[in-house]
Amino acid sequence: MTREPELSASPPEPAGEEAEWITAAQAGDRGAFARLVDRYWDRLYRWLYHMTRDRHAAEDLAQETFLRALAAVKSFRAGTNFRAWLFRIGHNNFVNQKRSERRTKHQLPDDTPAHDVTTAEGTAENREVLEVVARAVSDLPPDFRSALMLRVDEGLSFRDVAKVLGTTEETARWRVFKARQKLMKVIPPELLPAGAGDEG
Amino acid sequence: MNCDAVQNLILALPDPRELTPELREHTRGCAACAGFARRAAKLETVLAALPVPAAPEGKKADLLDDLTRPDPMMLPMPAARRSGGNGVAERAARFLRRNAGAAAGLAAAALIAVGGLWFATRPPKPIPDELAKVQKHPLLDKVVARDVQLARAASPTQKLEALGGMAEELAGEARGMARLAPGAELRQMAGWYEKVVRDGLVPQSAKLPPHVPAAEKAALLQTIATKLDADAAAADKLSGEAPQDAQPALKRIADAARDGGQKLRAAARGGN
Amino acid sequence: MTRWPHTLLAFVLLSAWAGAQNGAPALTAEDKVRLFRDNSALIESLVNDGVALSAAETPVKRAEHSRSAARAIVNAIAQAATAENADRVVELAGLFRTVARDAVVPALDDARRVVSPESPDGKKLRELREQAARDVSDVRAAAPPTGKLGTNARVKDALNALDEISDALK
Repeated sequence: MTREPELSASPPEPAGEEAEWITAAQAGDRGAFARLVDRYWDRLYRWLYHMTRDRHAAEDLAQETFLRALAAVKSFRAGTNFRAWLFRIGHNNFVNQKRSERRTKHQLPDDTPAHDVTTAEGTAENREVLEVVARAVSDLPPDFRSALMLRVDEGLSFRDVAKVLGTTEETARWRVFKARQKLMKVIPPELLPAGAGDEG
Repeated sequence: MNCDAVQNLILALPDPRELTPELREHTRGCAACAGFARRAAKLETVLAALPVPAAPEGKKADLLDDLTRPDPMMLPMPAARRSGGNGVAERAARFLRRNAGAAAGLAAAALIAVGGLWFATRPPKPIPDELAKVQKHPLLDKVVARDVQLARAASPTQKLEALGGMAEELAGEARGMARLAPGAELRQMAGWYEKVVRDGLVPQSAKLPPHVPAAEKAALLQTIATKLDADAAAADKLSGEAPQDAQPALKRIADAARDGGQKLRAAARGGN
Repeated sequence: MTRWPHTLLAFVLLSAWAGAQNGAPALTAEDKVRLFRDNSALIESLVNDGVALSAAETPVKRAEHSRSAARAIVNAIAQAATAENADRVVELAGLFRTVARDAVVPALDDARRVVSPESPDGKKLRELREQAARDVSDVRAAAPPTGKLGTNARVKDALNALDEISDALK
C-alpha cells in the first residue's frame, strides 16, 4: 500500500471551523474527526459511486477512506486542502480495489433519487436522459471519469483535480476535456437538444 | 477562430455553461457553435444531476457512532478478531490500540461529543472567536449557526432538528433574561420563539416524506414535542417567579410550546 | 440502548467540566441586556431567514434566503462601521464569512448543478450570485483601507479573510 499522499505547494486554507477540527483530530480528538466525516462522507460516497457504479463498493470504499484518513491525519499538512487530500486517499483506495476486484456495472435502480432537474420536459424524458448519460459516463475510461466527476460534481478546480489524481493540472484538464468530448459524441443529439433554431 | 477550435475550447472550459466573452462573441454569430454550446451546457447540467442511490448499509452512521463512543477504557473492548477483520468496530479498536495514549488523554473531549444527544440535538459549533476579548452574544452566534444548519439541511428531518434546536435556544435565552430585561424585549423573544414553532416546526412536521417509517417519524416528532413540553413547563414555572413585566412573554412562550407540542403529536399519529 | 445512562451522565459531567475550563469572561446582567439590545434587530432578521430557509423547497429559494441572512449581517456591519466600532465590525465580519462560506456559496453551487442556465431560475441564480459578490464588496467598502477602521489590524485581518468568499463567487 502506498504512503498517504503529501500534497504540496497549495495555497494556505483560511482558518475556520474545519481547520480547528483538523487540528483537534490531529491531537487525537475523535469527535473532531467525526465532524469531518459528517461533512465529507456524502460527497466522497457520491464520487466513489460514480467510479464504481456499485453502491456497496462505494460505501465500503468511503468507509475505508475515512479509516485510513483517521490513521494518517497527523500527516496532513495544516493549511493545505483537506478535501483534496481526503479524495486522494479515496482515489488510491479505488485504484487498489480495481486491481483486485471485478467491477460490476448496475442499471440505474428504480428507487434512485433524482435531483430536481428544472427543464421543460416531462419526468420520463428526464429519466431517459439521466440513464443514457449515466451509462455513457460509466463507459468512460476510469481516468477520464474520475477527473470529469471531480470537476463537474465536486466542483474542484483543475489544480485540485490534479492533486487528487496524482497528476499535473494540464493532464487533469485534458482528461476532463476528453471525457466531455466522448460524451458529446456518444450521447444522441436528440437527448441533449440545443434548443429552438439549432442548426448544429 | 474556426468552429472546431471553438467547440474544443468550450469543452475545455472549467464550466461550459459559462462561456468566455470571446467564445460568446463567436456563438452570437455562428448558429452551429451556438447549438453546440447549448448542448454542452445541457450535458454539464445533467452530469451534475446524475442520481446516486443511497448507501445501503448505514456505514456512515456506524463510523460516526464508533468515533463518538465513550473511551474504550470505560467499556469492554470488543473481542479481538484476526487482524484481517474488517468490521468497523474492529477497525476502530485497532486504531485505538495503536493510539491508546492519545485516545486516553483526550477521552474527556471525545465524551462531550458522544451519543445521540450530540448527533440529534447538538447545538451547532460556536462561531470561531477571532478575538477572545470581544464580548460576543451567544444567542447571535447560535442563531447564525442554526441558519447555516438550515441552509444545509437536505431533508425535513434535518430541518426539524435544526428548528427544534433554535426553539430550545430561544426559550433558554428568554428564561435567562426573564429577570433582567424589560417586558418589551422579552415579548420580542417570545415572538421569535412562537414564529419558529408555529411557522417552522409545525409545517415541517407535516412534510416528512412517506418513505420515512412511521415509527421513526413518530419517534422524531415525539422527541421534539417532549422538548416543547419542557419549554412550556419551564416558562410556566418561571412565570410564577419572574417580575410581572415578564409574565405575558413567558405565557406566550408556554402557549406556543404547548400548541406546537400538540400539533407535533397529532402529526406523529398521522393527522394534523 | 443500555449505554445511554452512562453516556448521559458522562455528558452532563463533562459539559460542566468544559464550562469551567472555558476562559471567556462571564457576562454581567448589564452586559446581557446591552448585547441583546445591540443584536435584537439582527437576530430577528436571522430568525425570520431561518424559518424561511426551512420552508425553502428549491435550491434557488435556499440560495435566496441564505443570501438574505448574509445581507442582514452586512447591514449590521455598515451600522457598526458608521459608529467606528472596530470590535463589532470584526465580530460581524466573522459571522458574515461563516454564513457566506457555509450557506450562501454552497447553496449557489448546489442550485447551479440542477438549474438550467436559460431558465428563469437560471437567471435568478445569476442575479443572486452577483448580489452575493456585492455583499462582500459592501463589507469591504464599510471599512475602506484609508479610514480609521481600515487601518485597524484586526479589521484588516477580518476583511482579508473574505478573499476565499470572493474567489468562490467568481
